[in-house]
Amino acid sequence: MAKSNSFFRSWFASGEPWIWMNAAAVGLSISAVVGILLLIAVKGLAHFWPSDVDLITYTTETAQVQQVYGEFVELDQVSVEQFLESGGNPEWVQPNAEIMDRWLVKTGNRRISAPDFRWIFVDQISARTTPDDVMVLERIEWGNAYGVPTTLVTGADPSAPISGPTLVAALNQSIAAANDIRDQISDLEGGILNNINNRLERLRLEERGLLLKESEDTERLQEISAEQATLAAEYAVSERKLRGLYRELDQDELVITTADDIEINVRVADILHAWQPNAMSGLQKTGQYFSNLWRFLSEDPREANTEGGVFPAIFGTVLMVLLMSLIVTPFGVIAAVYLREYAKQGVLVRIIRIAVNNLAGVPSIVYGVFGLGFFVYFLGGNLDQLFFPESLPAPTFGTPGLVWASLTLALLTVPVVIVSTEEGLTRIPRSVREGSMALGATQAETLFKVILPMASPAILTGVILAVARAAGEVAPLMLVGVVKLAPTLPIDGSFPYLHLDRKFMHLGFHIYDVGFQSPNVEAARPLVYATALLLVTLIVGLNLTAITLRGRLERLYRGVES
Amino acid sequence: MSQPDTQGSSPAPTTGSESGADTGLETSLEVNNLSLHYGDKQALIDINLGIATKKVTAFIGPSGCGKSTLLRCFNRMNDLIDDVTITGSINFQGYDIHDTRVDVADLRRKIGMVFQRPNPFPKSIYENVAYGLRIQGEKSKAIIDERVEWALKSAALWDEVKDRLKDSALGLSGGQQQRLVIARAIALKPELIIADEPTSALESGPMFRNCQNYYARTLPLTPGAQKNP
Repeated sequence: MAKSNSFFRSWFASGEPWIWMNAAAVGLSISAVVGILLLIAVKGLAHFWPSDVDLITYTTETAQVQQVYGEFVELDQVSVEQFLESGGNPEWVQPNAEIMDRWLVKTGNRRISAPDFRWIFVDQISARTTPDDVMVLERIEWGNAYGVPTTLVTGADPSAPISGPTLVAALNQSIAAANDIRDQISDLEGGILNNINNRLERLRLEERGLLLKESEDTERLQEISAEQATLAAEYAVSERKLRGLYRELDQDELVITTADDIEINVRVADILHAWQPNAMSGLQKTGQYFSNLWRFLSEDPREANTEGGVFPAIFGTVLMVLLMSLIVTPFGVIAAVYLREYAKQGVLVRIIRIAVNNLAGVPSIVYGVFGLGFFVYFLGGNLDQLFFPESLPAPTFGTPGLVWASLTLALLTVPVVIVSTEEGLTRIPRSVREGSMALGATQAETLFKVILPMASPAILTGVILAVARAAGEVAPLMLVGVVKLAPTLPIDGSFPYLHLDRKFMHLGFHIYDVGFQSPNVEAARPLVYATALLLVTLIVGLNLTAITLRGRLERLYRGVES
Repeated sequence: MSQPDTQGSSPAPTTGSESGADTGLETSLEVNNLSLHYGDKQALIDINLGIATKKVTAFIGPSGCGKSTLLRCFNRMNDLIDDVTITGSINFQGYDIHDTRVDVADLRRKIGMVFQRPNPFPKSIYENVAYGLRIQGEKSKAIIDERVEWALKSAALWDEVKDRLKDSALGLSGGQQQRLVIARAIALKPELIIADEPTSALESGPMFRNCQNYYARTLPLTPGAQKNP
C-alpha cells in the first residue's frame, strides 16, 4: 500500500498526469468539432443524392393495402408503449417486442395524395420493388412528384400524344425548351422590364420632387411626361413579348400515373427537372448529384425556402461581411493607433480600453436594437428627410437594409479589431520607431511607412476574428436588414449598381427560417443541414483567405519582433 | 582626406570654440549646464562640454552612468520618452536645439544616429538606406541609387550586398545589419553622427575605421569603441 502511494505521488510530481489531461482535453475538443462537421456534412450532402424510388406495398392503420412510390429517408424506432399510447393498432405489436421499427418515406405528390412524408412500419410492408420506369419530377410548386410517365401532349401537335419508348426523350426535350423559355422570361423581366421600371420610378420621383419644391420649370415637367410616355410604350412592347413567351411555355402537358393508379396531369412548364433514378447508373447518379448540388448553390429559393437553392443568401452573406470588413478595418485601426501611439497613457485611456473590451461582451441583440434605433430610424430617417424627400413617406434609407446591417456588425466587431491591432502595435520594438525618427521622419511618417506595415499581420488577425464573428451572427441582423426572402439581389445592372438600401438574405437567418419557420419540417430538415454546412464552409473560406494573406505578411516581417 | 558634400542647405556658423578651447579645435556642438531628470531621478548633472568638428570624440564610463542618455539629448531622442525634463542648453549651428524654431525632424537629419543594437526596418536593403532620402522627399531614382551605393560603400557593405539589394534587410547577419544602419545614417550626409556603441556587433576594429576613412566627422563613441585605437 505504502509502495503504491509513493508511486502515485512521484507520478503526480513528475507532471505527467497534467500532460495526459491536456491531451484528453485537446482530443475531446477535436473530436467534438470533427463530429459536428461530419454530422452536418453527411446529413446535408446526402440530400442531393438521387436515391432509388421504391414501390412499397404496405398495410395502413385502417387495414387497407396501399401502394406508394417513395424515397427511403431514415429508419426510426418507437417504443411499443409510445405506439400504443398514441392509438396504434395493438395487433401490429409482436409478442415480447419492446420497440418497433418504422421508416420515414418521402412520397411527394403533395396536393394529390397527402401527406408527402409518411411513416411506415417495417412489419406492415408486404412488398418492396424498384421499378425502372418510375420518374421523379422536380416541380416549381408543391415539391417532387413520383409516378410512371404515360403520355406527353405537346402543344405543337395536341392530336398526337407521345407515349412509349420515345416519351422520355421527348419529355427531356420539352423540359429543356421550357427551361430555355423560362430563362428568356427572367432575362426579360430582370433586364429590360426592370430597367424600364427603374427609369419610370426615377422620373416619377423627379416629377414629385419638382412639384414639392413648387418649381416653375414647366419645360422639364413636360419633358418628363414625354419620357414617361415613351417608356410606357417600350414597356407595352416588352410586355407583349413576355405574354407571348408565357403562352409558349404553357403548352406541353405530361400525364403520369401514381402508384395507386391515379392519373395526374403535370404542365411541363411546372417541371424543372425529371429523372428516373432506378434506371440510372452510378456515374449518371453522380452527375445528377453534382447538378443537384450546383442548383442548390446557384438558384433562388422556392416554396417558402424549403425547395430550390440558396444563392441570394450566399450572396447577401458574403457582401454583408465584405462591407462590414471595409467599414470595421479603418475604424478599428485608427482607434487603436490613437490609443497606443498618440494618446497620453493615463487613467482616461485605461478607462476607454476597459470599455472597448467590455463592448465585445455585449450581447449581439443589443447591437441589433441599437442599430435599429440609431442607424435605421435616426440616421436613415434623417438621410431620407435630407436627400430623398420626394419618395417619402416610403422610406429609402429609413428602413432596415444592407448598409445598416453592415454598420451594426462593424460596431459589434470593432473591439476585436482594436484589441488585436493594439497588441500588434505594442509588439513592435521601440528601437525600430527610434531608428525611423532618428532619420528625420515625423511620427506620422514613421507610422505609415514602418509601424502600420509591421502591424498589418495583427490587424488582419483582428479582421479574421471579426469576419468569423460577423458571418455567424443572426440575431442583430433580423432587426437591421435581413429578410427571409429578398425579391432582388443588392447588386444588379441598374444604377447605382450596389444598392445599399436593399434588404438582403443571410445564410444564418436562412437556417433559422427554414428550420423553424417552415410549414414542411421533413422537407426542410436536410436543407437546414446543407445550409449550415455551407455557412461553415463560407466562414472557413473567408478566414482561409485572410489567414493566407496574413501568413504572407508575416513572412515579410519575420525576425523583427524579437 | 576628401570630404563629401554636406547638405548645403544649412551653412549656419558654429558658435565659437570656448568649450573645446583646451584642444584648440572648432566645436560643432556645445553643451551648457545640461541636466536631465527621468521623473524624480536625475540622470545627468550639470554637464558642460564641446564636441569638436570632424573629429572622433569618445565617451567612456561605467554602465549606467548616462553616456547613452547624453547622446540621445543631442538629437532630442529623449523627447520620445514620457516624463523627461531637460534643463540647460545644447547649441548646434548657432541655435539651442530646444528652441521652438528648431524643426526636430530637420535636426535629426543633420545629426545622424547609430544605435547600439542594429534596428533595420523590415524592408529591402535598398529601401532601408533610401528611407531617409525618401522621407526628405527625394523622388529622383538616379539620385537615390547613387546615394545608396555611396552610403553602402562608405559603410563597407556594398560588395556583400550589391547583388541582393532587393532582399529583406532582416536576412543579413548581425554585423552586416550594423553596417547597414551605419549606411542608413550616413546616406543623409549628416553634420554629426552620434553612435551608441555601434561596433558592439562588428567583428573588427579596422572595419569601423574603414567607415571613418570614408566619412570622418565628429563621432562621439561610447565604450564599445574603446577597442578601436
